[in-house]
Amino acid sequence: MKQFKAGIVIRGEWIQDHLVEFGGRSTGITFLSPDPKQYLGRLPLPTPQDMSDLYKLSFDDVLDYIERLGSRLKLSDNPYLQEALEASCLTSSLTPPLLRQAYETLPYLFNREGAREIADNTIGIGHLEGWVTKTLNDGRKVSIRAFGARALHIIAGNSPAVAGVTILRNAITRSDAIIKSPSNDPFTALAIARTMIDMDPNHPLTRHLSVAYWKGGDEALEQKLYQPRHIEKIIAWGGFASVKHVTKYIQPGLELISLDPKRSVSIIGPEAFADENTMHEVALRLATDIGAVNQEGCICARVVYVLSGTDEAGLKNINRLADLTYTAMINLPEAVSTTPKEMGPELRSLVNTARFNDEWFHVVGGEKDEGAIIASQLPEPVDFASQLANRVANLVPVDDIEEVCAVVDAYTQTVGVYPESLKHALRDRLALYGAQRFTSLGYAAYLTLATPQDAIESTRELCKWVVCEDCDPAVTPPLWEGGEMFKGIAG
Amino acid sequence: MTTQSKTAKPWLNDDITAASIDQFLADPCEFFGNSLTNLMSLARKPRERLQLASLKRRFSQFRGSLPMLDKLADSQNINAIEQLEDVTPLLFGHSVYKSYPPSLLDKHRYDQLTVWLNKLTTIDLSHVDVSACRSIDDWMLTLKRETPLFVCHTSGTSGTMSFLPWDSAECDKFIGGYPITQFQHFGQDGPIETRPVNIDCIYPYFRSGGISHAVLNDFVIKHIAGSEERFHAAYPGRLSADMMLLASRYRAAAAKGQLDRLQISPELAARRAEFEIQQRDMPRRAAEFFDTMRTTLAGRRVFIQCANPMLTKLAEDGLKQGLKKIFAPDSLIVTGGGGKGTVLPGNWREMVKEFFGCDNINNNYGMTEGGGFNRSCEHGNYHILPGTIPFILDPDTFKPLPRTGRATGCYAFYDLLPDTHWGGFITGDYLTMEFDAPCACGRNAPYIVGEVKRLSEVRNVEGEEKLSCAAAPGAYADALDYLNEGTA
Repeated sequence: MKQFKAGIVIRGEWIQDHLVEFGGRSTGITFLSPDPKQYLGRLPLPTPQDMSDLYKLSFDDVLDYIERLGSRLKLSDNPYLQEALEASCLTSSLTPPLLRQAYETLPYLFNREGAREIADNTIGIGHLEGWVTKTLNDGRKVSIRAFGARALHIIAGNSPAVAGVTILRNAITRSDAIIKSPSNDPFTALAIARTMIDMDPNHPLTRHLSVAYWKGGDEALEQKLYQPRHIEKIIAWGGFASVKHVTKYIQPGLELISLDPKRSVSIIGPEAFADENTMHEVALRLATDIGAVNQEGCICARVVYVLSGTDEAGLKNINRLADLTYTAMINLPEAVSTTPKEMGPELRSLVNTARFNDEWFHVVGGEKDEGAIIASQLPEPVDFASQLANRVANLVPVDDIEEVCAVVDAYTQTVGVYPESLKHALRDRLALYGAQRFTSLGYAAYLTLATPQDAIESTRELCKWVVCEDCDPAVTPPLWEGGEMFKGIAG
Repeated sequence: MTTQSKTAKPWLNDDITAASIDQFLADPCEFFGNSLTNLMSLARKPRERLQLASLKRRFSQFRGSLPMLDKLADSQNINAIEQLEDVTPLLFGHSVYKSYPPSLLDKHRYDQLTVWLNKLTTIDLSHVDVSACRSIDDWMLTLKRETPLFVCHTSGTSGTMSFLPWDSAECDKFIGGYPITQFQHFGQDGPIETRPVNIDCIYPYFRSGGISHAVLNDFVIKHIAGSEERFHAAYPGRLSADMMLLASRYRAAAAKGQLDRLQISPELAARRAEFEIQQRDMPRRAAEFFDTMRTTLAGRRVFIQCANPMLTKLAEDGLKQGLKKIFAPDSLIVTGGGGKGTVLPGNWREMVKEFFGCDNINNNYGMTEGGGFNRSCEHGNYHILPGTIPFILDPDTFKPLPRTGRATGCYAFYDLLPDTHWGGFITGDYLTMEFDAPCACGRNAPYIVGEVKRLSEVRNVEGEEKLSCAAAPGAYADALDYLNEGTA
């Protein structure tokens, strides 16, 4: 088996010595990577003042850089990405066709107009470019600017896009990023960083990105690095254990932006059963929400509530929808969904057990680990709903929308809804229960970055929002003359 | 009176007759001449020969008469067992025993639950009228009254209970074997205990209930205490399965911030006063229990069986009250269950010895789903009884690893003892089994080396941690609080 060799990137410098072995059976590969302890002292930015070079750039300079980088991230031309793909095929839960597709789409992520839209929608280019000034009711002039921060990103590895998104956000916000690569994707962030070095080693955006791998939970290392004197923000992606683990380092001066583990649901109204064509369309949309990226994303539907009713006719409808959804899922394009890499014996056993209880569950497929659609025959999800993965979804028949509200909670990220009218009727209520994104059925996995994420403005929160006030005693009565605080706010 | 056979050794025969299998399956201890030394000395070859013949018998007995097994075997087209490993695709996952929709309990559909359970046992339940049952307790007691079943439940944090279709014959074999498997010392042909042993038995929890130890209390009375009067439980009533389920759902809902969505059936709410009295009386009952130990039972030879954390707590409480070495030195403590989510103090064994005044502490490895109670030897290794066929499965595929040398992975077994339900089970435990190298203790049986971990722990994933009987009292109180809040 090929011995993969990783490296460390520290602000424009590619380092590949002091190699030690990482990974193992659970990772899918073993790979050599520099001993992070040797470079621990160099990972943090020596002084915040060193970020000043970023402020010599205009936002257009940033976009120029992003555009140039995008053009160099073509998989066919980029040996670093090719190696990352090769390694990911061994480490990732995604299958090779899905991984290839994810790498093929990286250049779109680094598109000039796309980046501009993300920056403007999530932060506001004015605030990134300079001070945005307003006069307040009490007469003072306030100027607000979004500054970058020294941030550590503990990124998820379920898709190579996460590494790309992180690097893009770091550039847009003019931040300094240390990316801790995940064991299920140890090479993508490195590959992009190396491409940046080849492209422009001295560019400030190249020189404010570091990428390293260490074993998550390495307390000796993390205790030293996760300090307010080194970093201001930690962005921790998914995995309950990983987020929980990071919280112990949080202290005043060190902020956590937690992109918690989430799950997604779909809700289908009775209109789905209007006629055969509609049912086929709904099945295809639903199959996409379930099957896209092989259900590896938090955005993918797992439990699907269907307002079919629970009488005989209702069950007949939901079972038919399950059959159609299964067929549609199996026939999704290879770049969207494939037979999963590994179903795992526990889930297989759970699906089979449901199959053996056929009075309660109509199980379609799953005999070849290709994914399965389980239609409950009672209005309740399978007991193992939290373990649904690898293209195994559960359709649950309900009579009343109230039954759906009860299952939405703070872990619910995306709610894919059919038809549109139902989505508009539900969104105010389900938002209160915790739902974070509503979208048209079939679009759950079709993401945009130009919006808040997980009900927080994660890109905006990467910035430090600094205020500069100009107060003229002639306009704003000062405290030293007996001016009363807040009196002026009424204007 | 139990007798120890010194002459015939049918377990060593090359040709295993149908009669030998009958005898082994009916009473393994009797088959081995009521000798622990014989039971644990059988060389690998004859042991596996006996196990394979018995496994074939069990397979032909259940294939065609146990619907859940049939579906599993049909789906894989398995119609014969030629070697021990052939059974591994047919081992039940833990989900099988809780594969009913949880709403059946809420909606009192005990008729459907009974039909489901009947797919897992050859005992005919079709005649049992459960239509009047309004609680799990009702249902379990009805089945106990009308059939030979002694249904036993577990509870998971997911809020779903597993129901195991134990029967009386199986429990008789299990506890009835204790005078050999637990009272005897390996390698010593000492005096044989009578059956029943006729000694006082203590139990620091509820007299009855559906959790494994409470179910077995009836059989401890039958085979060890010899009479109800010699059985001393801390609390006289029944540990309610309904309250345990509510407790587990309460914890799951609290963890998710969804207590507002937890619903209580009117029937359970109506029993609030009963549970309150039970809860209120617990400190007084516990004090009386200690009084009984201090006065009536002091100096006597006693037997106690309970999970490790409960045993340690009992010793701790007793020592705090100044009670030391209160029982006879030939008393017997049977425990197991490891930490069960609670961390045992490093000196738990010393505390237990100090309180009880006896050195006979049998630490065992076992579980509600079967597989025997496998005693640890003086070297800390749990030796698997010959009635259980152990397997180590690859945790990623559940395919069996070679049964040679040392294998580490997911523990699974076929338990040959049950006559009316399938004995194959895949546990959630991750451990190392030594199949070949002899243990310094002299036993000739596969043994568990080192620590037993949860597979979920090893994989570092959340979920599926069991809310065990040992942690139940706290949860029970939480649930009662909630019940009061919700119905006041």
